[in-house]
Formats: sequence, structure tokens, C-alpha cells
Amino acid sequence: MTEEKILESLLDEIAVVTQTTTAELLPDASFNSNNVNSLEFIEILLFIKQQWGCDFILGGLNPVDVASPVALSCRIASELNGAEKS
Amino acid sequence: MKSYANGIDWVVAGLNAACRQMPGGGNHFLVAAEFAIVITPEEIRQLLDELPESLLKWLNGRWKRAWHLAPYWRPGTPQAIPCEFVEDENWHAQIVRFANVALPKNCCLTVKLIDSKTSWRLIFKFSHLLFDGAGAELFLRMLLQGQAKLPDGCPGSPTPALNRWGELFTAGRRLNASLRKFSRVPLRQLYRGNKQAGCDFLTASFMLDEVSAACDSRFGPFTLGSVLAAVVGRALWLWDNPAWPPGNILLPMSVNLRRAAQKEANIFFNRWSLMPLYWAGMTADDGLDWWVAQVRQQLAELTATGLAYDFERANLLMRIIPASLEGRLALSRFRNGAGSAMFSFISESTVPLSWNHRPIASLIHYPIVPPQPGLGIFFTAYGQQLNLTMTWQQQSFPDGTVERLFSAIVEELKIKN
Repeated sequence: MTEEKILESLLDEIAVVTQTTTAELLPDASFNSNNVNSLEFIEILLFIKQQWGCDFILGGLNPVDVASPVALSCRIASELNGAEKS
Repeated sequence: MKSYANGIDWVVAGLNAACRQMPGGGNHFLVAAEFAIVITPEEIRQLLDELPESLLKWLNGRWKRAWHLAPYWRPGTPQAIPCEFVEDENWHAQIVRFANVALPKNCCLTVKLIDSKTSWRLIFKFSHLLFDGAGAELFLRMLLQGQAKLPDGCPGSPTPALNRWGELFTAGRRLNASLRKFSRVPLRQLYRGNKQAGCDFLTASFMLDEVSAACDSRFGPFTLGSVLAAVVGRALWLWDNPAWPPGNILLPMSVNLRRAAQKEANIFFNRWSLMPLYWAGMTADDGLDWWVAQVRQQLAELTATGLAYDFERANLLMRIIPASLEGRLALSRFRNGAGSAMFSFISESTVPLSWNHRPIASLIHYPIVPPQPGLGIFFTAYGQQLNLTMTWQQQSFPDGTVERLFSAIVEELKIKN
């Protein structure tokens, strides 16, 4: 799956969680700027696990990965590519 | 259009009834704004007198048909907001006194200004029947920014929301199944609170960025809320308190159901729900990491099952159950009260950082707790501060025990990497 597709799905989910529209979201801005708090972030992690099988609920992400929705989709893509190669 | 109660407002009405015999006469809460620059009584009176009549009617309203199938909020006769001014350097005693006095009948907001010579505290007392903590902050934003008006649209639920029985009963079944496990095991909690004692408070302030960065560094990004819950749970388990029997920890965490896009339309009524955090099988060797991992896992599971929404929906059903059965059901699930302690975290304050060109030095919430669990631990983020308030019921805990618990939480929040 391409990074763009992942980002698109991720933004759709953030829009659902924050009850805004994807047009109002800033893909390059922080999750805080996109009105995502720590509990809502768990909802997003749950979505990532259900959608792509990447389990970050108990850890595995570093601050760079969650700098923005773009950064997080990049991390998911690299996880998926790594899984494909192995 | 009528404003109907949702399922959580039903729960809050029950909590209010549980606090009826306490000196405060109900389940209200205070929000205190501290200023380092003089505030005069005249300014406060002017601020409150600018509230429009439509809003005053709303603030002087009450639940109509409170225990009926479809309770709704009826606006009352508009009255000026009661306001008192005192000069006292012992501001804490004044806050405790204010918290333990009942709100006037059909009045959802009163105000007190405490002049302590070097600091001034503007304290708002909100009825929980009309406001929750996050809603009160939205109201204060509106008031302090000079934009106080009744929000457009219906401030409550526009319908009683009962004509969806399948959904409600499904939520009820799921909730019942989730809560059943808590009714079978002993919990660490207060088994008998004093129904007539008042509440007291302890507060502490931390640098939000420092605590948040320490959590991110040790537990991963966006873990602040989970760490706070874990710190409280662990401190309760390790608490040396002869009034508490040994047992597991149940922390019924309040979660805000408001979302960013809804803020303006959701000032009034209770928009929170519960996520019960539960720890069992822990040992003295389990460090904070174990407790945090348990929280993360449970939050993910509770989010996946949608328990918070089930709790809101299922409580609508309680209105149609006969009182005797209702009591039996509540006793079987909450046999001994409401868990080990109340807990909540408002992660983002909406109150402005200044008013009338004066910075607000701090903003602290002081919630009342009912006789059971008789204890509440609450966090709020305001500007660069992370504020902790612990409320407990006086006369319910042996001397010194509450202070020990508070010190343990404060010490644990100095999170080390």
C-alpha cells in the first residue's frame, strides 16, 4: 500500500475521531494542532492495528513518528514494506 | 424546543442525590481562577450583570419530571448571579467553606471573590446538573471573553432519544457484561462514607511540558493521560490506609465525549462518560511500566468495544426500570460504591489565559465527591500547568492517610527516565 493511500485513510479516521472534515485537517501539522488528545490518539492506534495490523498500542513509536499524520503514515508504510520484504 | 436529559445526566442526578445530606447539599464543583493583580468586586459585579436574560433564565432552571421517562430542562425566572466578596489571607479555608455550602434553589452558578492581599481568587461554583468540568470551562471562556449568550440551537438533547430500543438494550447487555466482573471481587475502596461530612482538598501544580516530556521519553508519545491514571492506580494500591481492605483497584475514569468540532454547541449538560480501569494480579515488584501497559491495553479494548457510549445509552434505559429492580441492579454492579476513587483528566483547558488585561496565574477545579467513594483525584491542564486536585470526604479517612496518598502521587509524578 502506498504512503499516500495510508495518509488518506488516516486522515479520514482522524476526521471521524475529532468529528471534523478532512479538509480542515493539516496533514503536516502536529496531532495536537489537529485537535487530537491522548485518548483520541488511542482510537487512532486502534484503527491502525485493525486496518494494517501494526500494533503500536503498547509502544514502538518514537516522537518523530508522531510529529504529524504524514510522519505517522510514513512509519506505517515502512512497517508494511518491512513485513512484505521479510 | 425542549432540552432533554441524556443518560449521563441521569447518572449525575443520582450523584447529586447521593450528596444531598452533605453540607454542600449536592454534587457541585468549583473552578478557581487566581490573579496576581488586584480584582475589584465592582468589576466582578459588572461582569456578571452583563449576562443576558436568556442565559440567566437558563442558569436558574431545573430538571422538570426529573425521574420520569423524558426529563427536560425548564428555564426559570432570571435572577442576578449571587456573588460574595471576602478579604482573607487564608484563601484555602474560604474555598473549603464555599464548597461546603449549598447552591440556592434553582440556581446553577454562584461566584465568590477572595482578596488575600497578594493574590485574588475568582471562584465559580457550578451545579453539576447543568455543567460538567469541560462545559464549565467553555462557559467561562464565553463569559471572560465578553461573549456570553445562549448558544444557537438546542443546548441539550433535542429528543428523549428513547425510540431506539434495540440499540439501547444491546448497549445495556454489553455494559452489564463488562461491569459484572467488578461486582465479584473485593476492591480497595471506602466501604462506608459519612453521608453528612463535607469535602476538603489538596492541590499541586506541575510543569505540563516537563511531565509530558518525561512520559513521552519513558513510555512513548501521547501517553500522559495513561501515565496519570497508572500513577493514581498504583498509589491507591500501595496506600497504607487501615480503612481500606486489601483488594483490586477500580478507577472509573471520566472521559470527555465532546469533540473539537462540537465545542460551542456543547457547553451545557454532562457530555462525559466512564471508562473503568481495573488492575488485578499485581505484585509489589510491578513498577509503573506494568501499570501503564495495563492502562494502554485496557483503553484500547474499551475504545474498541465502545463502552463509554454504551454507558451513556444504557443509562437511558434505567428510567424505564421499576425503582426496586433499578436499586437491585445498581447494587449488584456497584455494590460497594463507585470504585476506588473518582478520576478524570481535562487535557486541554479552554479558559483564556487572561481577563481584563490581567494574566490568570492558575486555574484549579475543586469537585465535590459523594460519600462513596469519598475520594477523587482530578487533573487539569491549563496553559503550561498540570494541576492536581485531590478531594476527600472529611471524617472518612484516618488522620494523615490522605496526605500520605497525595505525597505518593506527587512524588511519582516526578517521573524519572
